[in-house]
This record gives sequence, structure tokens and C-alpha cells, in this order.
Amino acid sequence: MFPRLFTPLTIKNATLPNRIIATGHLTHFASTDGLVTQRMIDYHEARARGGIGMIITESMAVHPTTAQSQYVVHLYDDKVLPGLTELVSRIKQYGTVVVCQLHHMGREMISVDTMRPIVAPSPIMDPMKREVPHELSRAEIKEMVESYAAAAERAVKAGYDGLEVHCAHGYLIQQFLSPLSNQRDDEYGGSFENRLRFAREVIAAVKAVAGDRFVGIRIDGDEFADGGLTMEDVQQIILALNADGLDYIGLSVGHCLNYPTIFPNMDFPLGCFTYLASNIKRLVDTPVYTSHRINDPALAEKILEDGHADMVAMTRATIADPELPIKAKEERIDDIRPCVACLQRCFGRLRMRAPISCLGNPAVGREREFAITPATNPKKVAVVGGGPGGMEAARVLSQRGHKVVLYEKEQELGGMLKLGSSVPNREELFNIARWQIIQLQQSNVEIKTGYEATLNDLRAGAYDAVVFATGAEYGEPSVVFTENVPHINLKQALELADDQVENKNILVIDRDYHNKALGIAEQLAEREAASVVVLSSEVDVALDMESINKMMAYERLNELEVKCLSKAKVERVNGKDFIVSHEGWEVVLPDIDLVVVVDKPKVNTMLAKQVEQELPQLKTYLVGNCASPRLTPDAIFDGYRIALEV
Amino acid sequence: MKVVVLIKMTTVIRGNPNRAENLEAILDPGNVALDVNSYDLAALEEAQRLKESIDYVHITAVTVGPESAVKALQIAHGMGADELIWVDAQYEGGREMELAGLLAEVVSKQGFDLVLCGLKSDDVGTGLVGIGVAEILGIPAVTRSVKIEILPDGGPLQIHRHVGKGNREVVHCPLPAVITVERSRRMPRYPGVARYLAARKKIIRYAVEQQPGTQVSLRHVETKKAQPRPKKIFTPDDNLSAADRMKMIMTGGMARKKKKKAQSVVSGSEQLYNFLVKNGFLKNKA
Ligand SMILES: Cc1cc2nc3c(=O)[nH]c(=O)nc-3n(C[C@H](O)[C@H](O)[C@H](O)COP(=O)(O)OP(=O)(O)OC[C@H]3O[C@@H](n4cnc5c(N)ncnc54)[C@H](O)[C@@H]3O)c2cc1C
Ligand SMILES: Cc1cc2nc3c(=O)[nH]c(=O)nc-3n(C[C@H](O)[C@H](O)[C@H](O)COP(=O)(O)O)c2cc1C
Ligand code: SF4
Repeated sequence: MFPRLFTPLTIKNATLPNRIIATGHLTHFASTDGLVTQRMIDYHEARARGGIGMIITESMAVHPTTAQSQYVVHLYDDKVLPGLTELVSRIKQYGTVVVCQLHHMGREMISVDTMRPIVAPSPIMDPMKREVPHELSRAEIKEMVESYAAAAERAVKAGYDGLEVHCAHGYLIQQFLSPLSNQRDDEYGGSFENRLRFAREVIAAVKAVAGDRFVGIRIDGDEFADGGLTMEDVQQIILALNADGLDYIGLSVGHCLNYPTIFPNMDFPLGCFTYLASNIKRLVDTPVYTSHRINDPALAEKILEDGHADMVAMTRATIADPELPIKAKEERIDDIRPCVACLQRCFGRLRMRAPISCLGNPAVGREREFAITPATNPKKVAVVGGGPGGMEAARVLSQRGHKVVLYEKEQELGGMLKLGSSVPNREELFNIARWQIIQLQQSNVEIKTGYEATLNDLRAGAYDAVVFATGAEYGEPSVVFTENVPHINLKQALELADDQVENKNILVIDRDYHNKALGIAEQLAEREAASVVVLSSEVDVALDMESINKMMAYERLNELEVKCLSKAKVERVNGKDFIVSHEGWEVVLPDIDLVVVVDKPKVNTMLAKQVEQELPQLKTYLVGNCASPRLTPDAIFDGYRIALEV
Repeated sequence: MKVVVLIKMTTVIRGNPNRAENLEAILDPGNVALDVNSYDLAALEEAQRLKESIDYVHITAVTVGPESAVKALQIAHGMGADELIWVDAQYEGGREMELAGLLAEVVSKQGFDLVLCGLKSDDVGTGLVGIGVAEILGIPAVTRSVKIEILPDGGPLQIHRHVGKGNREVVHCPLPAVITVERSRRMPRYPGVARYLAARKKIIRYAVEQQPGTQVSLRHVETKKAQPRPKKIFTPDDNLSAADRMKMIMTGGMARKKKKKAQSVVSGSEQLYNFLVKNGFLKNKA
């Protein structure tokens, strides 16, 4: 089905069994001492076992002045060697090629983790991290080049097949390349040649110690910043570096001035940055890889077929489903658990300085404890509620050999996610529920849709255990500012008719702090509300929303002229005019027609409580929103965890 | 049936025949041209006819020579050969048996039922190579063939041999075998341009590993498969601002229609009315 995807590719002395690769991604599985952990090994081993062609392990620190967090591998110290050697050998036993990403962040970091001054070619403040770096002296540059080489030597010792010099994402090497961050007047700055010098020296030093291992780069194909490197500039850079000899070229995108592009969420069209690789591939013979928003083997095959690249990075796609390559090879396309580009549990957790997981795949980073094993004592289990939580519980329970009956009172499975994916640019979120539904249909779970479970059903069913995944519901708005203006909850807002929205001035009160207030605001604005204002009492609207989704949502809201007011408090209402205080200012929002109060939903535990009283001998479990109102990944995680417990 | 055809480029003298008396002049590159050996073209034609007469004939063309030999493979491909092998090595006249040894290795590596080659070459013309290959492989050889027929039901080949003065000898020969082909009235077909041009991508290249004595062996050389030209892909213009470039990517190159909020008819006409009044076109009645 995918002939090109499964054609091996030889890079110097290593042969990739197929063209699917995972680009470097920080996992936060390293220990605070900068060592490889068992968790990290298990994580990568699962992906290698899944049949991936090449794994580029996470960005590893080449020098003590760089660290994204407390949990990065200290490749600048020999102490990492035993762990790293084990990691590499475990990946290699499946024929997967393994590459080490040599990384220095330069100024694009904060000094909290290293407790040393951050460093860069010029003392220009990083626009995102807002710290002023120390300008590297020439001696320090020399030391830096040497540290790249020393780190590369360690990687070679650990058995890596290849080395990747990280020249992308606005980190140290790109900071030297770009005139925006490099304003040196010595031989490392100014002209094209001079700005290129550091990259050249690093790559040469790495190649000098690489021996028979291959050496490639990852580089941004366009800086997307006015005054920065354009695609043509980057093409010149790559041609110059390639002339010195590169074994592969990885194209990427994104840095401090356009951060979301490094981690494209579902706003970005699929494969939207493949053109960057394509425009390099037409210039060089060296193998090229493309990345970003490629989550489907058919798209990957098409990219290869059209000749845009030689390898296709499917990084998050293989976080979401490590078995993607095998499933693609066996043509089990429907079985591939999709990455929906939500960023909620991979990048989102990095930002919270926690190890990565995945919205749809709770076993990420828990490969050992979350392995699905057959139940020693198969039971008859009822699962009440067909939202993401209940479906996950049912799926895993039946995989373990339990006999499962799934009750859902609505005609369709999917639960609140049906609403969740109905707001603008969140449609893709439902793909995870769609996958669960297909998995359930293939399993021997008895699915009862349009069937509200009652105490009687649970009593009569002779169940050994019941899993409640009954979700949460929106009740009366938690606040009513005035009787003059109708106040409604989120669910009611999603059900408004067109004439209730058009040309209305709508106020959205964010008391949920996630994406929902922004989602409903955008939807109402798209439906031609006259004006939409989002209020939050916090320092930021949608305070707890994953940052990239938020940045992208702001942009769209801006375009739709939706206004946000943070640190806001409704002081009083005059007729239909709302007077709001904001950091000492008073803002009048005139003529409000409708107030949408976006609260946290309330748990729906009625049935669970009844069972507790009436059937005390029945073992019960709570999953997802009915345990505590949270998000989809929490529901899925609960479902999976409970299914292993039953 | 796997048919391997051995072909090569030969040097042909062209230009003023008077000058050809002068040996020095013959060697002058301006007076010689390279062309596919005419007997080899006949062998390619014969292979092609076999392919047309029965199903499942797979033709591999093999050539030994420097870079210029690739042209022979291009022509072979143009005439319909399926697979192309280039052994990157040079053998002058006088080393025919060494060359035969090398070719024997290639064909047995490749697997074959029938080896076809020209009766002899236009330049050196010893006619030794084909027979040498047969000898080394220990299989029968039939020379001077002008017509090859396949007898039904997997029987032997029926070969018409040229025996001079217009006489033909018809012989039967089991497979595998080597047959050397005579030029005949069967004109070699003209190579198709598209296939001729596409040939370079298909060539499999070997280098010769020199070992002490006459022993030679082959090493497969990774020829980079010709790069497929990337298809056109939407690329934003570098001259646009960064924000505009990004916008184009997000929308796949289509400018998103900015949603203009509908203005009520009343306020539109009101604005026009005010404008006209303000500029003195209309008198304010009120
Ligand atoms: C507008 C909006 C946007 C959202 N956006 C996001 C987002 O971007 N990211 C994110 O992670 N999450 C988002 N969510 C939240 C997400 O939808 C929920 O967290 C998730 O669906 C919770 O799953 P659950 O399985 O716990 O419960 P639910 O999905 O609520 O499922 C509970 C199910 O149980 C059924 N049920 C209840 N009682 C019974 C009974 N007695 N018998 C049979 N069936 C019963 C209900 O019909 C329902 O289908 C959003 C939600 C909304 C409303
Ligand atoms: C959790 C996470 C961590 C990442 N860390 C790195 C990194 O350390 N080095 C790097 O070059 N890219 C990193 N990236 C970017 C990815 O390599 C990749 O380019 C990005 O996820 C887009 O590709 P995809 O759509 O195939 O996932 C990271 C991405 C994620 C989601
Ligand atoms: S958390 Fe979301 S974005 Fe990250 S891998 Fe999983 S599905 Fe993809």
C-alpha cells in the first residue's frame, strides 16, 4: 500500500528499514542528574519495536550552559555513557537507526536550570525568554566548538549510528546564522561567510570525531521573521554546508519569533511545511527529511511519491501510536491511533516541566507499568458512559479479556467531545473518539447506545464491577450580574439559533480557564455576533490553556475582532451596560444582549451514588469528568488506568 | 525466460577516407565516432522479437566499458530492454577471455536462460567473447544465428545459422545457451526517445575489484537513483513579509476572506445620507 514508505534508505553505513522517522523530541524522561532513565529506554524501545526507520533521540546538552529544564541528558559529561549505551543498543536491536541530536540553546532559554548566564553570539535579549545573554568571546566560541566535538565523541562511543547538529529552532547555531541575533563585528558576524563560520566549525569538528557514523543537520527552512533569514538565505546556507559534506539534511521551522510553528497545532494544515524540504531537495543529492504535521502514512507516501523528501518525520504521530509503521505496513490504517495535534499532553506537559504523555495514548512514558496484559481473572464489567473516558475503559478492559457492556444514553458515542470538537478549529479533536469507536466496533464489547443505564440494569446484569464514566454537566450559570440580560451556560450557548446570535453584543465570562471560553467566543463571532468580549478575573483569559493553542486562538480572535479583558471584574450593570474594572481602569461594555457564563461543569455522579447505596457489594470505579471535571486526556488516562486495575 | 544481451560501443572511423591511411589520423578523436556495435544491435533486435513471440521474456542488457558505454544501454532501453547493467571497466583488444570471464560472472549473477551477443565487434572483430562466455559457463554456444525460434511446449530453441553463400543451417539447442547473432535482413528497430532518455535512471552499476592474477570479481556500486524531480508545491514568495508568508501557509495559498460583518441597511443609508448632507449635496430637512 505504501511502497515508497517501506523502501529502505542507506545513509553512509546505516540502512533505514523504511522512511518513517521520529525527529528529536525532548521527553523530560531524563533524571535531574542528566542521566538516561529506564523510562526513556522503554519509551524509545516501544517505538523501535513499532518498526520505525530512524529515531533521533532528544536534544542533549553539549555544554553546561544549556538546559531546557532539569530533565535533559548531560551529554557534556561521561557519566551519561552507560545509560546512553543501553538506550542505543535497545533501539538498535529492532533494526532502527538511531541518531543523537547535539544541542545548545544559546539564548533561547532561561538561566533557572543552569544557574549560569545564558550565552549567545550577541548580547541581544531573547524576545521570548526575556533574558539578556552573555556575548561569547572568541575563546569561548572555541570552547563551544570543542564541546560539540566532545559530545559527539561520547555519542559515537555510546554506539549511535549518526549525529545530528541542531541548527534549527532559533538555538545557538541559528543565532549565529541569523542577522537578527548575530551582530558581532569579528570573524563570526557580519557577512554571510562570517555568520556561517560557527556552524561550519561545529560540523567539521563533529565530523572529525564521527568516524564511520553519519552526520546530518536540522535547520529551519525559513526564519519567518522580517529581517531574518528567508528561504533563499537558508538555501544558500544549506548549499554551503552541503558542499563541506553532509549525510542528510533535516528541514524544520520555528523559533522565538514564531514559536507555534515548532509545534504546529491543529490550526496548521497537514504537511504545510513540506515545501521547505522540497525546495532543498531539488538542489542537492543528499537525503532530505521533512517534518511538521504529517500524521498519516498516506500523506507520507504522497510526499515521497511527489519527490519532496527522502524521509518523512512523523514525530507526534509515533508518540500517539508507536506501532504506526507496523500498522501501516500491515495495512491496518483504521487501527492507527491518530495524533490530533492538540499539544495538550506532549508539548503542554513539557511547559509544565512534566514528562510527556499523549492525549490519546496514556502508555507514553509508562510503557512498562501500562502494558496491556490479559486479566488473570476475567470479569463481567459494565461501563456507563460512552465519552472518551468510558470508551477507553471499555476498549482496554475487553483487550484484557473482560466481558464488557458499554451503556451510552445518547444515540452516538463520543460524549462531551462531540461538543468539544464543534467549536472552530477543534474538529480534529474528535478523531481520537472516532478511533476509539472503530476499535470498540472491532472488539467484542457489547455496545448499547441510546440506552440510559439505571440501577436496575446494573443490578440485573450480574456484573462483577461497574466503571462510571458519566461525565459532567453544565448547570445554572454560577453568576448572574443582572436580571436585564439573559445569562446562559456553555451548552446552551452552543445550541443558540442564528437569530439569537446575529447582531447581538455578547459577553463571555471565563470561569473555566481552559479553551472553552475562547472556543465559544470564536464560534459566536464567526456566526456574526455584533461584538464578543471575553472577561476573565485571572491575569490572562484561558489561563490554563495550552500555550500554543492559545497563541493561535488569539490570532484568530483578533481577526474576528473579539476582545479580551483579563484581571477584570464586573463592578455594576446599568440597564444593559456592563461596567468592568481592569487594573484600576473602568471599561464600559455597552448594550450587552447576552451573557455566556463558561463554568467548570458539575460531576454527574447520580447513578454512582445510587449504586453505592443500593448495591454496596458491587465494585465501582469513577473515570474522567465524573470523578472530577477535567479534559479529554484525563478521561482517557483514567479509563486506561482503571481498566488495568479491574 | 531471462535473456541477457551483451552489448558494447565500438569505434568507427569517419571523415575523409584518404586520411585513414595515416594511422595517426585515425586515432585523432575528430576522425572517430562511437556507436553501438552493429552486430549487438542485431542481437538486441533478436531478443526483442523473442519477447514479442512469447510471454514472459525479460531482457537484461549488459555492457562493459567506460562512461561512454552508457549510451549502448540507453539504446538498448530505447529498443525495449527491461534491465540495464553497466560494468565500469575497460578491456582493450587481446583480453577477450578475461572479459568473457567477467561477463560470465555478471550473467550468472543475474540469472539467465539465454545469452545473446553480436557475432563479433565492428572494431576488433575476433568474435571470441560470446564463445568464451559459453565455455566458461559450460553451456552450448551457437554462432552466426540469423533467426531464433522457440519450439512449443518448452522444447529446445530452433536456430537458423548463416553458413555462407546464402545457405542456412537449422539446428536445435537446449537452454541455457549462448547464441551469437549475425547481421541479417532483420533491421534493428529504432530506439524510442522517451525510453532512451529514461534509461539513465535504470542503470545498475558495478565496479571491478582487481584481485591478484586473472581473478576478477564484481562489486555493486551504489549509483544514486536519479532524483525524481520534486513536483511543484505551493511555496510563498520570499518577498512577502513574514506574517504574510505565514498567512499563506496557514490557508494553503488562498487568501482567507476576512469576514466583514454585515452592516445593517439602515446604518449604511444613514451614513450616505449624512455624507450628502455634510457636503452640501442635500439640505438637511430636519
Ligand atoms: C466546548 C468544549 C470544548 C472542549 N474542548 C476541549 C479541548 O480542546 N481539549 C480537551 O481535552 N477537552 C475539551 N473539552 C472537554 C472534553 O470534551 C471532556 O473533558 C471529555 O469529553 C470528558 O470525557 P468523559 O468521558 O469523562 O465524559 P463525557 O465525554 O461527558 O461522557 C459522558 C457520557 O456518559 C453518558 N451518560 C451519562 N449518564 C449516563 C447513563 N446513566 N447511561 C448511559 N450513558 C450515560 C453521557 O451521555 C455522555 O456521553 C471540551 C468540552 C467542551 C464542551
Ligand atoms: C514534546 C516535543 C518535544 C520536542 N523537542 C524537540 C527537540 O528536542 N529537538 C527538536 O529538534 N525538535 C523538537 N520538537 C519538534 C519535533 O521534532 C517536531 O519537529 C514537531 O513535533 C513537528 O513534527 P510532527 O508534526 O511530526 O510532530 C519537539 C516536539 C515535541 C512535541
Ligand atoms: S498529545 Fe496531542 S499533539 Fe501530542 S502526540 Fe498526543 S495527540 Fe499528538
